[in-house]
Amino acid sequence: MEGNIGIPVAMEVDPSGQGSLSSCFFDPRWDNSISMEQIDPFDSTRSSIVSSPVASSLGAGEGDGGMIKELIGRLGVISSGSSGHVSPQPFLGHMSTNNSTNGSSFTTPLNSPPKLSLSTMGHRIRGSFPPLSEDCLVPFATDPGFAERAARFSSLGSRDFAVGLDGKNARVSSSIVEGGDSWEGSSLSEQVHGGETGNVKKTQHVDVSAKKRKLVQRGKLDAVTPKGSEVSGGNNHTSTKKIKSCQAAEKEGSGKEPDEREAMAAREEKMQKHGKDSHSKQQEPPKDYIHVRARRGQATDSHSLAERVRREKISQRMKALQDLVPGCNKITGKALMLDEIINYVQSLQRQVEFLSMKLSTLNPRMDINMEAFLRKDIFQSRESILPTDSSPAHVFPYGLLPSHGTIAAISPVQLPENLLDAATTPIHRSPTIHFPHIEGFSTVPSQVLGVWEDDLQTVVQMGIAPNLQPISFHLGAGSTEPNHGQMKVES
Amino acid sequence: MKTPSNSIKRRFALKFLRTLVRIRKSTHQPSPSQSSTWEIRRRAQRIKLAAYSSMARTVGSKRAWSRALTMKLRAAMGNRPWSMIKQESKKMTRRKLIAKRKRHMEKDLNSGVQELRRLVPGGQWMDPLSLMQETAHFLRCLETQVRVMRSIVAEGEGFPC
Repeated sequence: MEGNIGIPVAMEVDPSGQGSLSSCFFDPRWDNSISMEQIDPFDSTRSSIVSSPVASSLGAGEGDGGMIKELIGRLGVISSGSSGHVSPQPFLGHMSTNNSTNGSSFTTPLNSPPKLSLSTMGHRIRGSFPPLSEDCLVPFATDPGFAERAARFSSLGSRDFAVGLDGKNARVSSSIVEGGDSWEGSSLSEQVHGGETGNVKKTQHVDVSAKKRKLVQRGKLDAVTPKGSEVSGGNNHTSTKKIKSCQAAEKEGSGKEPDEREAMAAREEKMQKHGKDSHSKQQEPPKDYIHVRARRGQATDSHSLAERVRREKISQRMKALQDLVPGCNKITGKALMLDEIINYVQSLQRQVEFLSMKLSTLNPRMDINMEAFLRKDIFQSRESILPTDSSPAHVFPYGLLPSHGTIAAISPVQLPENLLDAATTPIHRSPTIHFPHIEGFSTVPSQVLGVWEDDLQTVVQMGIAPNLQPISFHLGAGSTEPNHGQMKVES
Repeated sequence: MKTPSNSIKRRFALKFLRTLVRIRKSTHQPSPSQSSTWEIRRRAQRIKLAAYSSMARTVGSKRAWSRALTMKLRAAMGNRPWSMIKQESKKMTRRKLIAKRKRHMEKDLNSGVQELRRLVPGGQWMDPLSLMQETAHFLRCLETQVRVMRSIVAEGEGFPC
């Protein structure tokens, strides 16, 4: 409980919820560290607590559910057995117990606009940015006893109070999203320094002292209202991006400024990622979508964004390529990597050349062995011999050339067409596979038509050798089986 | 990207072996062992082409590089009239190169990318993105090819010449 406990409250519209009444989703977090990190995601989502039921024109898309789940998952600790989805109603109820006012502690101080603030953009950036410690959702009354009581009731309440107790700086940033489907709207973020607010009651007075900042998305500033007068303290930047630069000024602690800046950068990135028309609820991007982060000062027009995306893609593929090339992992730099890849391809091609050279000079007995190879793979070597036709056209049957079926037709023995298909599927290597090579073959151009085996493990051997004396087959060197059965082929 | 998997290896081995056997049968018959160096070289060339072509056929026409390779090999083997191919490829080159080269030239990677384009079949017509993709696939297929050929050679060397 000590230390600053960030209490991000994300209110999200439950897609399943009824249109007008959106269920609010609160994620309470106890853990300091967690809260720190998680604030980012919620950063913009930190919703103002809405006293009135949220106007639910928020187009609750599918993404919300996923986002909620994600948030829940991320939240390591969900306090006090709240499943994480707390419908606004119960929440209000808890608060009411404390305050005896219908508005929850949250709601009252903030006096938030009826709209539900929902910003989804933040989550992408999480992790990359240091925790925004200041972001505590709402510092409420610091009454310890009250806090404890509240803790019992609801996780949310407990959190709030804890925060209040800490007296740390609490920043409440609430983004208010216009009811429009586009999600565009002004977001209002309010910062409340816990220290200042430490003694402040839950009432709205807290807000008065609190510093507020407005986030304006896309230049739309809606006076949706939040806390009327108090809002004025915030700076409004209308620009293509929402700018939060003012936050830094508002912050008191020196240490907090960097955080804020990062938050700003984060938001800018978000904006860039999503583009102008992006939906804020696009929390779960499609997998193949590449997000480009633009740092400050980087160009953000569509062309440079597209270019950045392209470069990103290229570097991704380069990385994939890098994995393929051995020894390329240590190399950094695209040019060197390209060189390495080129070298590798060239070496492979040289190897192909060398190997084909070797193949061409191999012993002719090799031919039979290769046929054995084919059989070993249970491929039918139907065309092991073309009787007399050795024209180049047949040697290189690129698609235009006769298929194997026709070749088989040429050959005296016609093998069933489905044999090949059947042969490819099962690999059962029967013990009777033979890897014959022919003795004395070099002198006699024998034509061994085909040797195959079927499921019955019978070896059928057909040979056509015009001028052939019986050739004895025995197992070649490559055979795994010391089966020296001799097979005779008679012409 | 798992495509050049075991099955491709098998299919390639089958195709290549078939062609290899045919080549060797056809060229060995006159003088099996005492062929001249010219003969050997010619045969080696054919075997090499056969290896590439069977790889291209194994991969099929889904990949740009295999398509380009098939085209090239067809041209090399004279299965289609040279003039036709020349014209066609020239037309394609003109059109696409002018359009694409200008657009996709990269200043920093230029030399390397150009080299890569030269190496990967059909690379001249690709933009860098697909070039990378095709290169990766081509690389893996090449590795498979080399492995298969090596095993064949190793098998064959068990026999005394």
